[in-house]
Amino acid sequence: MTVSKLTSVAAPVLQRTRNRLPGEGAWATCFLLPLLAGLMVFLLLPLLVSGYLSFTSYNVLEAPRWIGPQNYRELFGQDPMFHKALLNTLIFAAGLVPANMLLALVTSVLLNQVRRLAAFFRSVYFIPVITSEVVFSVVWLWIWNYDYGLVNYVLKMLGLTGPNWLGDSSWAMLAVIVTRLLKNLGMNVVIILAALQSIPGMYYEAAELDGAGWFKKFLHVTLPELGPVIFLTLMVTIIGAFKVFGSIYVLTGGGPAGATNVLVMYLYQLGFKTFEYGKASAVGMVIFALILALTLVQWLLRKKLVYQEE
Amino acid sequence: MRANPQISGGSGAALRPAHRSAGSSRVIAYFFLTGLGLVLILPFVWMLSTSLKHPGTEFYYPPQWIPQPPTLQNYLTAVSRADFLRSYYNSIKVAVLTLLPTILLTSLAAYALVKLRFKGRNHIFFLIVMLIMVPQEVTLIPNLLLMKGLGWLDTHSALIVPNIFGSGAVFALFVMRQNMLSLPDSLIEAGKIDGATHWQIYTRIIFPLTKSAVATVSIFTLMNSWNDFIYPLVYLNSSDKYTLPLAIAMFQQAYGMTEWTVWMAASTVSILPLLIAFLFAQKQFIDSMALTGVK
Repeated sequence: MTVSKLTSVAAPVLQRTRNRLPGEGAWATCFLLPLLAGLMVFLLLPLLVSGYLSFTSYNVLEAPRWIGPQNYRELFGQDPMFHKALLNTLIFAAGLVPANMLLALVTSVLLNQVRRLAAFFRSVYFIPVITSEVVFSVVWLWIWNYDYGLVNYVLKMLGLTGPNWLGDSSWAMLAVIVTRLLKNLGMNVVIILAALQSIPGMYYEAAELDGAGWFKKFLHVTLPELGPVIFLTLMVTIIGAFKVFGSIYVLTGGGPAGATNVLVMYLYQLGFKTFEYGKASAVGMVIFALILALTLVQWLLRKKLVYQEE
Repeated sequence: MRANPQISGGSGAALRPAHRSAGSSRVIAYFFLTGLGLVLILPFVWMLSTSLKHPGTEFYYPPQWIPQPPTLQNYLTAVSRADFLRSYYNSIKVAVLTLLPTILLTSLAAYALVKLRFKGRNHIFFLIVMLIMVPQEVTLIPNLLLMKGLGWLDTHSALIVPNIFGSGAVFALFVMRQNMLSLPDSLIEAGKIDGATHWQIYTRIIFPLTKSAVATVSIFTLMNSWNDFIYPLVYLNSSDKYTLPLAIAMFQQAYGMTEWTVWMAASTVSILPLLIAFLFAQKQFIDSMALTGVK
């Protein structure tokens, strides 16, 4: 074969074919198939089935009956509980995500300033992350308790009377957000801290030579360098907020009066309390659509914002 | 003047250019970090403290941090309940049976995706990575029907199998793949020259070299399955099948609010295995968590 005659486009193709030993495809099939088949059966197929069921009327007793987009029409048009769950989910995310990002950013910047005990603090912050949501929330049941809880005790020492946090519909959401914030904060701290530590010190030296103070250094060196990691943690935190369930199940059960009822909680109630599988699937698809839309937005924004300097 | 920090500073901290600023800001930093640490660790301190209190003294007001006198009775009560030990055993069983196939399947698949050449390799990887967007919560009902069809409802298979093939597996594959990308192809060439099959190359050369990825995937998978709540809640009916988070969530319904001290003893015991695993492997684990974020 005359290799010299090949164009630059064809050469890599030929190269690849020549390197492929007989049987590599067969080995690849054997190695990949078990995982791939499982993912198809237990992840992709259920997603498709969920999409199908969302267009049916289906409970335990009868077979699924195709009803078109009626579930969605009902949910969005005339289901106050769904409106509340959707709104609560957005409120939960809008409260949790900025608080988490801001606190994680401040914490990791400060953690990056200190040398002694930094590893110790990092581990302490991470312990709630490895704890189950259920156990963590069970303990916070006491902390928020109206009569003998810690929060109201501290407020009393300050001369204030605390509300019945989990039992008062105007305070329950705040309590749930704070609990969940403290549970998962450590994850973002660890990830952002690692990114901070990988910023080359010479960037700061250069900024200092230009006479930049700590704020200017933060604005012009730290934040741009953290761009990709902030985007990643932001996405993970938002998606996590949309999927919140365990904390709410333990702390409030969605109450009082639906004040903390979120989409997954509503899906759970529809699917496993009143057995409306079709409608519950539609709620599931709404959650999926939210996550999909946000991922797409992130993807587009990331290209535009984060890498513009490269 | 300050261009060379190596010379300008005497103490260790002064060597780091970003942190040469005054000591007062460091005091504020320590103050903040300690405060946050206290808030985060407080629930665990109270959990431990309450678990050591005599029933009836747990709600003394103002809150008592040190039980007077402490007792281990709550632990004995918790452990003596058949359901609790049973749920402990169930959690261990589910965690181990999820972990081993996850490691094997994802590392085999990663080997194929990184070291074998075949058509559509990148497409397949892209497709798998897209699946990370599918939340377990959304597949709850279709999986319920699937479990019903397979006759797995109210069995541990309903927790194990969908978990092995859940979005956690996609993350695990990603970690394994990153790790294998760093291994030189010459290792495989050497194996081929010795006449080894790909299975032999994988088991004898490549897999032993991916220890750090295996460690990361292990702790992450254990954490997920040990703490999983919504699947056990939905798929299990019999209390003797409960895993720990479900048993603890249901404790209140089973024994009422009067047994806070026993409840806290059970909660304390339930977080111990992961806590110990974390304290032993924290450096490895935190580093790899951080790495997945940076890359």
